[in-house]
Amino acid sequence: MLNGILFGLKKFFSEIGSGDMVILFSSLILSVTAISGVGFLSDRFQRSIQEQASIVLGAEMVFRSGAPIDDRYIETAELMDIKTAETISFLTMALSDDGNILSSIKAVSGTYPLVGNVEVVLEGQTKLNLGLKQPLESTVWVEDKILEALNTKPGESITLGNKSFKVAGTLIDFPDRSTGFLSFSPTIIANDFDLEEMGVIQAGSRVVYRQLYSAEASQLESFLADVEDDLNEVRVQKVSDIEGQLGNSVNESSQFANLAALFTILITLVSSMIAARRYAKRHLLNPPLMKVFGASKKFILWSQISQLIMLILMATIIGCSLGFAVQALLESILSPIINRELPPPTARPLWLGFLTACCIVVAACVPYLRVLGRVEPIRLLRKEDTQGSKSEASIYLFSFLVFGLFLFFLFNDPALVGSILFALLGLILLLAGVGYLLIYATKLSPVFGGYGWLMGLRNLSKRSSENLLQVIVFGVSLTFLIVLAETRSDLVNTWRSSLNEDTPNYFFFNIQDYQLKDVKSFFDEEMEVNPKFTPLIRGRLIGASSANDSPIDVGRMMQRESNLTWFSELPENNSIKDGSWWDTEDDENNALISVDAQAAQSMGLSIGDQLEFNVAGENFTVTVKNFREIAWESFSPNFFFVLSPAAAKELPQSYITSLKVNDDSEAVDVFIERFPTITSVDLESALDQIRTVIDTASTAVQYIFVLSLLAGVLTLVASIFSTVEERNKENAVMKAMGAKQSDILKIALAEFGALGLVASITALFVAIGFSAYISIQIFETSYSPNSAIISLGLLGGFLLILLTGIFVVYRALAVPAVQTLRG
Amino acid sequence: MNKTILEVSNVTKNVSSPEGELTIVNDISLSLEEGVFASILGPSGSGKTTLLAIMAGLDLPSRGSVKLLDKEITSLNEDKRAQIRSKDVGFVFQSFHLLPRLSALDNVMMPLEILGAKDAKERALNALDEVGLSKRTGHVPHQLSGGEKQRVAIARAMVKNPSILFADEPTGNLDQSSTDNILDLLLGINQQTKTTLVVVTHDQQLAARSDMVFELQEGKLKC
Repeated sequence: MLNGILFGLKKFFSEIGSGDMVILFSSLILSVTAISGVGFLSDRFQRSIQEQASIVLGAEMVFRSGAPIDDRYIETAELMDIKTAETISFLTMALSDDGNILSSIKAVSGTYPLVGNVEVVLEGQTKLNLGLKQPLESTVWVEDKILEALNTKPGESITLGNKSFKVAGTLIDFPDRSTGFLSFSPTIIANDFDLEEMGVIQAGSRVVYRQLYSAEASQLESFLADVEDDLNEVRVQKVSDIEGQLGNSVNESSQFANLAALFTILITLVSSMIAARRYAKRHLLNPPLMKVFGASKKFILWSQISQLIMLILMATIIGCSLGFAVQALLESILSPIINRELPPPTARPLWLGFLTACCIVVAACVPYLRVLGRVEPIRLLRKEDTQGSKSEASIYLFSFLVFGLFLFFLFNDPALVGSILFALLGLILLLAGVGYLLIYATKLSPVFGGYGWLMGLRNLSKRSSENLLQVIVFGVSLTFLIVLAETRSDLVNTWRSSLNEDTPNYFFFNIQDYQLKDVKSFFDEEMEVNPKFTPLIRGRLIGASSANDSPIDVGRMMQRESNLTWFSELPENNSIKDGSWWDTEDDENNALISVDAQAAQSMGLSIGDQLEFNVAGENFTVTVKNFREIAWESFSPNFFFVLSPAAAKELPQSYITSLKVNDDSEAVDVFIERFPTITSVDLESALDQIRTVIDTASTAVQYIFVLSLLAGVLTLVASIFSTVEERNKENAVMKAMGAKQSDILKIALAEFGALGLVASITALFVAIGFSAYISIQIFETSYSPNSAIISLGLLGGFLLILLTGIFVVYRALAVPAVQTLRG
Repeated sequence: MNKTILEVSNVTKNVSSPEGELTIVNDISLSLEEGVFASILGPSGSGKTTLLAIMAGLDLPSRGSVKLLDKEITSLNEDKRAQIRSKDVGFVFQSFHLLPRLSALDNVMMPLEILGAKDAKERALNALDEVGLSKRTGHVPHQLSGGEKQRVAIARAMVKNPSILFADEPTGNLDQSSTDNILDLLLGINQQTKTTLVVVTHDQQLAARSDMVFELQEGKLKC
């Protein structure tokens, strides 16, 4: 056994520079790089979640509501020796003499935080404080972004609402960073004692109230069991929920990234099989030769196994090292949207890389080893082809099965794996169909440019199966790249283009009833606009029943805080789908409600059903009058629930409005100063943030698809290389008959140029079809092809194939004809 | 009297073909003594290569038996026959069959590495020296001429001092000058080391220099 292993290793290192081995080795490294690169990053995200779950929540358990939470829960918990804290969070403008900025205010109780640390650099200090709790009264801790916007330093003052605060320190980090609407704005931590004086929270304001609990799991379970029957208004969040939620989103992202890496693996599997096939053909007589000189089957087997193991190990080490570099690159690309440092990865991605290398080697190489093992020594004395089509078919089947098993292991989801394979098969058939037609069409091409063009096109159809493989393999990766680029630019451009000149670019909300007149005057006098003011009522759906009083299960909508409004007229961008709008008589007397059609369907509602809401502690019932269809992409406020005037006029409400503000207008700054409790949102900034997220995430995914494009190039090289002996012989015969090197190059130019065009055009046809489908059917936007992306795809694909083919043929031309003809 | 090293008894080899069963080798019996130089002569398709392969244990006859070095090899499995070949049999091919990415030295070392010999390198160097290629040990096959390749192949076959050397048209791919060199080399080996030499050829000149000539026609030994 040892002799066989040593001989195998010797042979491996002697063969490592040969063309087949280079292709096989490169394919393995590429696939290991792709899967481990993605694996390292998602592994680090997973570990971050596990480490941060309770810090993300700020406690082991949280009660959360849009309305103040009863203090008795805190009292009950404290009796059970459970640590408690409270936070109240909302948005408001922070002001100074030099500027203003929308900020997320977190007013905290004296025991905050329960888990993790608030990190503050206090005024006059440079070191980070980790043990601080609540800021002193009339002082705040402020994030750097706010200090910059307000041109303020620690020790100076800022204004929140009706109160002035001293900036006691710079806020560096804190647990329980928010999600949702609070997360877009930088944070100020304040003392909850100062809330009343601030005067920002009014009836109808959008506020998040949280009670935090920290103790052993059993204590918390016991406490929850005591109080949960009373928790009608409150949502309970636990650490395990956060792990699950964030873990799910990371899992989904990882799966998507794994899908992208998967295509690289699939394509490298093809290039590996091509390389392994050629290697086996060239080394067909090696095992029988060894048998002639006395090698036993065991010796031959161990020599082959040792070579495969060395291949796997080296590809794993190099591939995982490159994968680590790739994940570092992805991390830097994603840094604008990752706000924390990720922990180092575990060894899991290394195992994944190793398994990927094993899968490809087993799928691509092992079948050919069997073929080699069956060649008898007598073949050395004869010149026969030993590989029939029967063995090729069984080889492909075996490889497909191994790959399928690997997919199941990777995704552990038969339905997903089945969908992937099905979709991939569909794409391959589509590419094959279009590619075949185009290759066939080259036969009909008119002859121009002379003998070289004619021979080049003939070669294209002569080697049609290899060339069709090229079209498919290249087409898969090029299609995905083009679709991704097109969809990304199309989505953002559609949003941007819907912002016409008059589209509002500023939203104002939390406008109270008593402020309405003054605000209207301001807009009229200072900005010469008369925007529409939409009432906003914060309420909670607490019951639903049919017309005959049978209860209806409305699912997730029950007990959720909702934004309600009321209109006399049907709102713009809304149309009635079922039922009718309220007429004059309904207007006067009846408590009615209009529901978004899709929401109504998911809740199982019918016209005439009754919905019960709680607003500011008061319950009321309304009857469903109609269902609406809403154009959500319009930039006007839209609502799931619209009440009739009779139902809503007397309810506590604030107002929102939107208007178009010119870039150079200072009126917004003046407005904010005059009305500090009103919140303003710059829509352009928000869109820029969204665009950053989309751009960043899709750039990262595109980098992974670039790996699959590289794999496509490798397969192209492998495929051309597999025909190099045949090409050499043809070239040698042509040279012997008087053809010049330039003639042979012309033929190659024509063949690969035509192949490049066929492959790129095929990919483009399919990519445009996919992009149109995604835009129209999935995003429900119009589709217009991006000429820059299409041109780049066409030119890039064409040049890549042409240059690669020419390079391989050019090298072959260096071999003298006589050497080739002599064998 | 030298002992019998190879005994072929009533060996017949049939193969299937589209035209039905073909008899390649038909009831051949012969024996060779130790140290003999024997030629197997015949036109293309006469069955000489098949007979050589059966004698060397590379193929099994349909009927009959072969005794090589007192061992009845036709009843042994592939691994057991390989074991005999590893120690006592050398083989030289018409197409050389050198491993293309191994140097001349590494090619010659191969049979010793299969045996697990510790002094493989030293013995391989000696063998190359014996065939006059001590200055080409590091060259890979495509850097060698046809004659040099065949000399490497002969060194490889002889490196383990086999009792019998089989050669299948060893000069078939060589020019005249190289042919003469190779024949001289093989004859020298036979005479100096007393290695039994069995050569398949259709070269009458070569056959004339051998001790025994077996002429095949249509699978049968010509009397």
